[in-house]
Amino acid sequence: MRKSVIALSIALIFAAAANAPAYERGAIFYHSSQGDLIYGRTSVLELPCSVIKAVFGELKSGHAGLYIGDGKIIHAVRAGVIETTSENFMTKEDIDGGAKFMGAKVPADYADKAKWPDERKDQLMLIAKEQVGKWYDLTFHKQTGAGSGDFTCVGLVEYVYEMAGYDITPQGYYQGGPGGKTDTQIYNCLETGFSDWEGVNTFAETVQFSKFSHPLEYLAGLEHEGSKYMFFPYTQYIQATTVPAADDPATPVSGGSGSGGGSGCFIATAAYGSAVDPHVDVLRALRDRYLRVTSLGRAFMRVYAEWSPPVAGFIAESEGVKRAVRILLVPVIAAAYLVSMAGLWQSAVVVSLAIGVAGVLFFRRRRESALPQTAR
Amino acid sequence: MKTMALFFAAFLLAILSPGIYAASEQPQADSDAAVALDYKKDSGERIQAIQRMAAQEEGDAAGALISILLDKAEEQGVRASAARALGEVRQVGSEALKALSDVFREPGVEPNLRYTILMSIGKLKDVSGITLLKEAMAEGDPMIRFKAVQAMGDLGSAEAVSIISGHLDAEKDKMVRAQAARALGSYDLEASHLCLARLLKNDSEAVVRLNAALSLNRFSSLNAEARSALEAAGQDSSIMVREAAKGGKP
Repeated sequence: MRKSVIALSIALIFAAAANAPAYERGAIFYHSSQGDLIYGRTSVLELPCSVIKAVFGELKSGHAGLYIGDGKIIHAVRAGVIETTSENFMTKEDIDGGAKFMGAKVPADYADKAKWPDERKDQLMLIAKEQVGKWYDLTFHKQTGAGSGDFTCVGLVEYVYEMAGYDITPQGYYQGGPGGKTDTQIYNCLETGFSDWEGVNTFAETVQFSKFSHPLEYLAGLEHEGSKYMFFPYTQYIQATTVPAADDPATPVSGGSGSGGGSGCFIATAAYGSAVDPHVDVLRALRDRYLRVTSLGRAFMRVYAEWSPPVAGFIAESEGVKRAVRILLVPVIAAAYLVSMAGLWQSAVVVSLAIGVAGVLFFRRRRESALPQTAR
Repeated sequence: MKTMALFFAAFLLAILSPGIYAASEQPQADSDAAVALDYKKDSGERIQAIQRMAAQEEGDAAGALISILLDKAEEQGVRASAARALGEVRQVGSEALKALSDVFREPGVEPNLRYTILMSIGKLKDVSGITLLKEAMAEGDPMIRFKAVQAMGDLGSAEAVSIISGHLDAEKDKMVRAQAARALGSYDLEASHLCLARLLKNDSEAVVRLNAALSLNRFSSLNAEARSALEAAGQDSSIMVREAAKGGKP
């Protein structure tokens, strides 16, 4: 009993520590693309896997976002610039994709009160909040919102800092006047089997890209103004002018549920108390993989979206109701888990067989109990 | 228990249903609207199509965008993209504003979708949007109030100035007040000069005074009250406010 109390106390202390806002607002969060590699993490720029992935259509990139305090971040994701909880910064999908390094940085002079008074940090937050709701730059043509307000993740961070009067990319664009700056670099690609990729980075007011010279450049790359380029986020430039934040863990984080925030799984979220609970994740995966892509599934979702928010509100108010709903959800989550692990039809076969066997056993037992004692 | 069983049955039926019904409903053309509406496609591809639709001059895109926005089965990111695009498409009718307002008031709707809707209402520059923005400014979530005030700045209606000014006295959140100062900077009117001068002189938060000074310096000419507030701000306790009062940028 005593041991249990001690163990529970330790668990509670760790839980409280884990939930405490560990970073100063304004910290730039970033995470690796694969393994512990992030573009430019070392002085030698490396694109170890990203270019290969781009050739085969799967570009895994690192990510950057801005911590705004109270456990929240603002970052640019595919759905646009959003504000979300910081646990959504490195998602389960990122971790499953091989990312395992996360860091946090602040400008080199961030602790200097004369250079960074509170109102300047407030201004940083203000500008970041203003961008929420804008487009993501899906083609990497603009990145920092030039013109129409399209951002990549790192472009957003850079823009916000720039508007607050700090250039986190002094080697970057807007330098060198009209036409921007060009810069040639060699990117070592260890897994290509071809020669290194020689890239020319061009940073101008309207476009940031890297044009690579490589045998595969005509097969890969993106079309822009009649030429083929390899566009990529310039995360490495964050590195040069920032220092690790005081609480930089340099360790994996648990990973959130996704980039869009808000699960839509209202009842499960209310019952488990968090949209990033693993049980909710299972249901969300099922929803996205099976319900959302069929007309019947979508019809179910519409009805569910209509009546579930008030029900979820009711559930969230009472611990007892939450517990009861969690029990009721067990078969649903078990079914969802089975489907996600074994696939839809395999699961249907397994469930049908199980129901069939249970039915046969049930009816056999009923028939046996209905027979007169003498006939047994 | 019966309800639970029915719910479970409906849930199972929904996930086990084959997608053949859906396939027959899909538009065959490769137009951006067809890609945007095709829920079997990758959401990134759909968002890109929606983004292209936003740049279209004619209002043809509005119908498809409204239908995506209103569909509760859509991914929140896709809905938010449709909302964003509606703020940018030219010649959208009053249905766009109605759809945006309806979704904004939908129970349980994701906060980022609501923020995007407020931004779009500002960009629509339809004065009828003021009703929803006023409603949003009375909400408890400071970020909703922040985006509503920001949208007021984009709206381009003089009525927004009196609404923002009236709201400032009750507003407790400094970021919302600072955003209000920025929004007032979009209106070169006597009323906004006075309100900004008042903020610059009296607000306790440096970030609010900073943005009031920045906004006043956006105007080509100032009234006496505003000029005097800017002069006094030369002695402000914050160096950033002092610099901004002199016309400097952060």
